[in-house]
Amino acid sequence: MWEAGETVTAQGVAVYRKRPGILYFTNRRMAWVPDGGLAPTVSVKHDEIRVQLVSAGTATKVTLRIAEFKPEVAHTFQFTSSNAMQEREVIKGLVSVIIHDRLLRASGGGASSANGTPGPSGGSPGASSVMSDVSTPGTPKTPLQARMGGPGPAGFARRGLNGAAGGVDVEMQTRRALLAQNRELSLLHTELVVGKHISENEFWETRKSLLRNKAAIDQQQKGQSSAWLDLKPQTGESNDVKYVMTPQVIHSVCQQYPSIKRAYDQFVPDKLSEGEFWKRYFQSRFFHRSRSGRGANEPDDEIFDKALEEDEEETKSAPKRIKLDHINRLVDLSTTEEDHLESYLTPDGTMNAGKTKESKEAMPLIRRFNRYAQRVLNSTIGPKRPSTGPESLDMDGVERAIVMEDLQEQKESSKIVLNIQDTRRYFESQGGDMKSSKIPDGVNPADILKDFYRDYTSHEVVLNKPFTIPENTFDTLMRNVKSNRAKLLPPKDGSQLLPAHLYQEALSCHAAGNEILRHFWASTSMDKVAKHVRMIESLKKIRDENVKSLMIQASSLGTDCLDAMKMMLKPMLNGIQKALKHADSRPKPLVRKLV
Amino acid sequence: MKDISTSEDDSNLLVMVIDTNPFEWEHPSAPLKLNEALQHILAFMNAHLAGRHDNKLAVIASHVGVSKFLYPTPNEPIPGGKALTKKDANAYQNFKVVDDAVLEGIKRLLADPKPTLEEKDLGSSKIAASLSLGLCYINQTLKLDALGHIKPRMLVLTVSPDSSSDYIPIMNCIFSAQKANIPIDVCKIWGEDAVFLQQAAHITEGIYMRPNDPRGLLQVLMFSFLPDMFARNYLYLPGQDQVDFRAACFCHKKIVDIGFVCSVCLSIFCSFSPVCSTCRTKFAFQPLLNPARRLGAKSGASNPGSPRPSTPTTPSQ
Repeated sequence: MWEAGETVTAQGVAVYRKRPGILYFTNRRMAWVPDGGLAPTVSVKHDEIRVQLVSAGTATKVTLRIAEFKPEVAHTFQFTSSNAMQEREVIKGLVSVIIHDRLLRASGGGASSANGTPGPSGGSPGASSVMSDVSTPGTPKTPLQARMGGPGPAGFARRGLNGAAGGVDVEMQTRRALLAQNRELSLLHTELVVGKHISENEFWETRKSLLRNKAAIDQQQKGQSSAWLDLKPQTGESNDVKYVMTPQVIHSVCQQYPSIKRAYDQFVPDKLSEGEFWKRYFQSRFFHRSRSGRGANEPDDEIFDKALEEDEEETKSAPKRIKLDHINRLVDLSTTEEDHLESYLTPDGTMNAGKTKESKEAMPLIRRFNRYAQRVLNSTIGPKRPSTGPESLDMDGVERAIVMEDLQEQKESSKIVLNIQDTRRYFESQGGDMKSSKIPDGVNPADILKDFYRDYTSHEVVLNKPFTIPENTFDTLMRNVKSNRAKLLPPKDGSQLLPAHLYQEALSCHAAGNEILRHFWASTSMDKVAKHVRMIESLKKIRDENVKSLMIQASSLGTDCLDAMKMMLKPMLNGIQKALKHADSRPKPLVRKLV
Repeated sequence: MKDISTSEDDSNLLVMVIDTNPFEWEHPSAPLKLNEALQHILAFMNAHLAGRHDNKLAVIASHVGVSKFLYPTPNEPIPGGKALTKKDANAYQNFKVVDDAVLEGIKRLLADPKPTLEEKDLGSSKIAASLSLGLCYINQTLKLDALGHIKPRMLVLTVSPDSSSDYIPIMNCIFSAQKANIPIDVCKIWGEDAVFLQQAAHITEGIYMRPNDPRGLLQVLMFSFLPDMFARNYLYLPGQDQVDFRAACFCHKKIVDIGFVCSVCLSIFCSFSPVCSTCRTKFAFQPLLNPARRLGAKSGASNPGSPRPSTPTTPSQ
């Protein structure tokens, strides 16, 4: 009646929908079996339990109500045995532990991704999404229990409150994370906020998109890594070899070697503890076989040797024919194979792998990788759903399977012809400003031609006389060349002209100045006068103090340095000048009101 | 795209297009006469031929109404008959042949007034035709060449303004030159900037020059256009990089920065009109007001409608 590895923790005689039966609480689910029945009618896995309700202690009926996530149903069980209350309390306690664990895992700080660890989910097909762990083979309770500070429902009520107030905390965390990651931002932050130019909130007001992005990234759960897992030991100061097994690692190992997973299900947590199991694993031949080709010195280990045998057997032989459930049975040719046996076509034997000697050795490995990849895919997106009965006889489904869009005749979409009148005018206007012909009015073209011919033939073209070239031609040409060259060369930027620390200071001054300018222009509306005034003060301060000091430092290092510094800070100074001019020209009465 | 690697061993084919538009050269405001200009041009041609023993040259005259090959002379008359000029023992024979062919060819062109006067578009020379002739000649030479070491380029010496009716043909030539990796250099000896040729030089990676003083033509030619393709990899050469790509409105032909564009035929107008004048599309909605005034202010579309064509199905004409 139970799955492999499932054990009953508690049970009680309960009535469900007026039928008597027994309510079981196992390590995987809650199940109710009617009297005389063989299989559970109601089965609610641990993670599907949303909430439980109990009847009041003084009520006559002792009931327990379990509500699920989906479908949104609730089951009510009424305990009818002699010690109904105890049974119910026991089961209630177990269920509340389950709910508490789940809440602990789900809530609590989106920033820390450790919370999102999916416990090792079984590789069984039909596993639902990663987050809700289905049939966890003994989810390692130790890490979670360590985190569980206050036990009992009181604990998680507090947690619920924290969740609401956690909004502000989350934002602070995001801010801190952003500052830690982005060095420029943190420099700007220290300069402005610590230097008391701008308040913290104002600083982040203009950077809302950054905060939003970071929060979104942090809340995303990373899916399962699909890399082939290679467990490396951590050699600490002491000489003993240490392997770290987190739930993720366990999950990966189980996915890679289903025989290990089977062994795990069988033995943990009932017969062996987790630690024991993994200790034996690392000592076994199985582990070392995959690490280095020869693991002959390992002691025999019954569990793992069996696992080893199973594993080798699996990969030696080719897999069985895959059942393709999603083909519409009306068009499935394999069903009528028997009618077509005697064709003169031999089946294709060209693309079979594993015929040559080298590929024979590689085949088990390839098979293992393929299976692993398939399992990873299944656990992430789920297998293809097999088609249900009535759908397979549907004619639309048949059409969908047969008709290929690319082979259909394409209908030409009806077009409207572009109709350009006077194409000449259309094309001639592409050329920019046109000048009309240069023939002066009143002169006959034929005359021009005659004059031209006469001029041409009268003077002979001689090449042995020296040429008279005006002097400035060469200078013009050289200037042209130099300007072209200057355009082609990469522009010299300040980092090459100034020493490093001075350059950094100039950068930060520039960034701070620009930030303040931005706030200045943003606060020109009527309701931000105080901030506006503050910005003006800050601008003046930056201009008079910071920039001046930078200039003095630069000039002490030479005029080149000073020029470079001036060039670097020029745009910012321009901006400050414009801003102050604008502030002066604004009507003053507003300021007077505040005073 | 052809392989554009250049090497020292390449011989160069220079195709020159000389604009002999009489209405420009004979204009009273012309700073240079054709004779004088030809002096500079011939010296430049000789310099090109002198660069390598296997450098090749072709000269095309772009006249009003006609475009002719000056060198190599298209039809050899009976050899020996009608002696060109007396053989000069002091002149290098290769140079002399070219120079004489060019001068004679131009003379013959100018002697015949017929094609010039027939041209409807007086005042514009046939640049497009010359470019096509040149490109075909280059193609022919490249095909005939056995070794494949010839690197062609074109040089256009022009004085006339752009001819508007030639826009499409010139653009076609430019694109085929670009495809064939043939740079088109342009020297506008005097006058305003020729926009089409500027674009030609820009697209084909050639050099566009407009010297300040036409009397220094030879120096400009030698400085900018003499280096061949291989040498251009190592030299900074003068040239005007800024090309005037601005659009002109269709109604007044003045340059616009912000205007109205018909969504059907993409013609540009400076002011709104309910019917597009080129494609007859009706615009049935109220336009936004003067864009210059409304710049910066947010404006939602008042009555967005789609333009309805006047003749939906029947293709007219």
